[in-house]
Amino acid sequence: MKQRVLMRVTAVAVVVLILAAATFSYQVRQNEHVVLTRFGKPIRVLAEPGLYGKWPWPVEMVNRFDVRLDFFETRLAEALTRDKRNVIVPVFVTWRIADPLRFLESLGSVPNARAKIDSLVTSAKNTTLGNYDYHQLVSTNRDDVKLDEIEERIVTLVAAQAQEDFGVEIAQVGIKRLALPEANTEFVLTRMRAEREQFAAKFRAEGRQAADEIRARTDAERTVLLAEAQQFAEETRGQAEADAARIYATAHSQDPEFYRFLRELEALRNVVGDNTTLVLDGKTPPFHHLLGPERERDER
Amino acid sequence: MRTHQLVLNRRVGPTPIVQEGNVKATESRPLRNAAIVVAVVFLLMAVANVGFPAALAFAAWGAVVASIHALYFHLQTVDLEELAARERREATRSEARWSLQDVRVLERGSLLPAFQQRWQLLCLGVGVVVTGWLIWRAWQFRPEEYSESLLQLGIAAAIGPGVLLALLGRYVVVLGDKLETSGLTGVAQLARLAFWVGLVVAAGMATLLYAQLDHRLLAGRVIAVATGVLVVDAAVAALLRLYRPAVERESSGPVGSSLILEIVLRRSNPWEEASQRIESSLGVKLGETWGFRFVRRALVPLVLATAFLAWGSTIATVVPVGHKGVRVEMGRFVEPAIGPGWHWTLPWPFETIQIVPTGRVDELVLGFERDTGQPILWAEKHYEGEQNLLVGAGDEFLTISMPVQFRIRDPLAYLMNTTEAQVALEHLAYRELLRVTAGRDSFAVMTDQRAEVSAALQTGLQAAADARGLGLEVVWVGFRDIHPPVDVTRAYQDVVSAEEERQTLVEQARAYAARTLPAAKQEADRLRATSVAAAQRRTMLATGEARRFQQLTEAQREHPELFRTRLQLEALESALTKPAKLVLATEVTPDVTLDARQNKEAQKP
Repeated sequence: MKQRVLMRVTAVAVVVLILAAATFSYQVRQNEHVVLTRFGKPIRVLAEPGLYGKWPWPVEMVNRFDVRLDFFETRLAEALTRDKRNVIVPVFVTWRIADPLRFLESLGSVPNARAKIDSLVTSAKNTTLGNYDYHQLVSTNRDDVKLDEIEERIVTLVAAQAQEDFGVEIAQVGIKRLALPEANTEFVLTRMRAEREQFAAKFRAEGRQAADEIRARTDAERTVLLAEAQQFAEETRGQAEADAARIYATAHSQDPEFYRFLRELEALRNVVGDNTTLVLDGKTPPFHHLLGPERERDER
Repeated sequence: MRTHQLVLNRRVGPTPIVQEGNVKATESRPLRNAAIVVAVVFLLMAVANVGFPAALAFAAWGAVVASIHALYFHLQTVDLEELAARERREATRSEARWSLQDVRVLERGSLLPAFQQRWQLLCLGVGVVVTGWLIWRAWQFRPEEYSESLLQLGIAAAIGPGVLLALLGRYVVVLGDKLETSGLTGVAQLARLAFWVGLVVAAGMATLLYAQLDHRLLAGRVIAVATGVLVVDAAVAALLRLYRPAVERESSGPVGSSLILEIVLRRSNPWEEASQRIESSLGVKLGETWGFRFVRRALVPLVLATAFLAWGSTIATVVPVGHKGVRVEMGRFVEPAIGPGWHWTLPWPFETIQIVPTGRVDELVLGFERDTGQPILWAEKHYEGEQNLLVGAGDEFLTISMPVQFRIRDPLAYLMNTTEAQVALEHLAYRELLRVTAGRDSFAVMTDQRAEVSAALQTGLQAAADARGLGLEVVWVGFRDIHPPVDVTRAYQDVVSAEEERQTLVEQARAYAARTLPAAKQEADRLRATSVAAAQRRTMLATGEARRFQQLTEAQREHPELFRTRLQLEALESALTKPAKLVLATEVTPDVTLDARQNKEAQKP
């Protein structure tokens, strides 16, 4: 029985001890800082890791702050460059809690801090972008691009205020992307399409031109070929004609009178056609026979 | 339990007025009063929790149920008083001793059966609708920032009525035991639950107040769901009652009590109950077995020893393969990181080992929000939330998909320097991507500068990650996909088509040439050949004719006169076979003119 009581006392003692250890002490990890408050009043800021003692809740309270770098992206916001172009420049912010006490007083929580820093940075970003031209954000000439300078200017604009008002160190502001508003995007896409269409049209025109050239050349060659052949043919025929004339002349010159006689007869044959009315002298042989003997005699 | 079968014949039909309650008039009255008080406190709780809609919904439901019970027991009280008056009259048989109140009671008749069968269901229905609307409102509710004093007030408002209701619930239970009735069990259960609801609300606010952890939404959701379950349970039970036989229905008490609550808040000890059940079915007295007695006696040391062992086991930690461990001594990270294997430490919380997966290669992909898993074809959307990368002189877009593979290289830096190293790496990767691609020609990025860009991105990203001490190593950066935006792709593809078309047109023209030129050559050859043949024919003809002439000449030389005459006459013959008319004139002079008409006239006479 006694043993049992002892056991129970031990159990209670252990529980009490654990509870006491949990409520009377706390650890600070290397990646966090702690603000100890007594009845809401901050009494200590601890940056060194280790085990520390405190009075239990509700007398003293431990407020832990993660002092590692936190990255978050600010809300998308459209801005205007100096040359009046609308751009959307998403930026991320790298920050850490530098002064836990001030942070506790002014912001309290990380979501709250992000919201406040977001406002600061977005405002500074829009201010800064108003001092730069569009080609200083993106350009084929690398020397024109001033992204790093813009980032640094934004940090300079917000760092002091964030440190003083919120106890927050702004380590970096990074430009993530460059984007254009929806309406402008559509026009850029249309322009890209037009640029491509120009090439397509050029290629097609080139094709038509080359094809036409080939066809024309072909037609010309064909004409020349035929003309040459025709020339040859004419020449050949002419030569033959001349030869023929010479042959005839040679032959006919042996008895020109006889040739004329023969040719006249032939002409006579050819000239008189079906519907010809022929008027002849009655003395023309053989018709003179029709005119009677005296006539025949007279003739003789 | 005592049973009274009471019949009042003033109303039509046999209408028993008191069934379930089974109590005397004097016993029904305290139940009614208790229900009224509970209803009032629930209303108070509802008012106190206006700022916390979930608790408000619960309190409203409690008030509805308590009101129905109060009404029920009020009507029962009235009926029982009438019964008592009647009994009094019958006992004395003297009308003169009737009091005025007795007469009033007798004249009214019983309202309880009608209430029990119809009106209480209607009341419950209204209550369900109202509570349902309140629950819906509670679900929509998003807690906002509260001042500290308001939160403290809220805790008090949640706890105060809760405690009061818990005490009342206890009282109602005792009352029910004393009167040997279960009529107010439903109300008692709700009242006891109100304490826990108040506690949950208070806890939600207290964590915000003292630990900056906002769990109010969760607390509200839990209460809203619990209230919803109770409401549905009560409504279903009330509806099921309609399907029970009329006699049973009439003998059941007021509606609104929950079956689930009855099971959860049963007053008997579940351990005892189970033990009794085993005893009755198996015939073994569990309480007397050796094991049971041992467990009972050694329970405390056993729990202690287990807890101690569990604590003691924190001195050994196994770092698995592909991981590294970081010793955390009283919150201080100890260099260097330790490799896989078995490691001894001081017990928790003095020293722990945080295990970090250093071997695993993770991947993040730049360029879009979600991969749809579709094939990567230019003209079809294959990612959701594709981001257009601005390149060239800021007037060209590219859509990309760049996987960045990385692993944890330095566990200490990984744990110490940034809150979320992966998120940080993604932000930095986008920044480097912008640096590397902006200003480059889009075609160059798509073609010959791909490798250059990904290499530049890898080195740049590694440098940026090191500068911020992310403790990550960029293993590989690739271009899985890079192309013009989907909307423009058709135009790009059309350029390729145009190039093909150009070639096609040229080929077609060449085909024309190939067809036309040989035909022309053939025609030319034909012309040449025919002309040569014609020339030959001409000269041959001439030669032949010349020969003929020569022969004729030779022939006529022998008898020229005869030859000529013959020829002449032959010619005349052949010529004169053709003419249509032949006129022979006796005298033909060169002046002779031939008038066919005159000749015709001359021939007439």
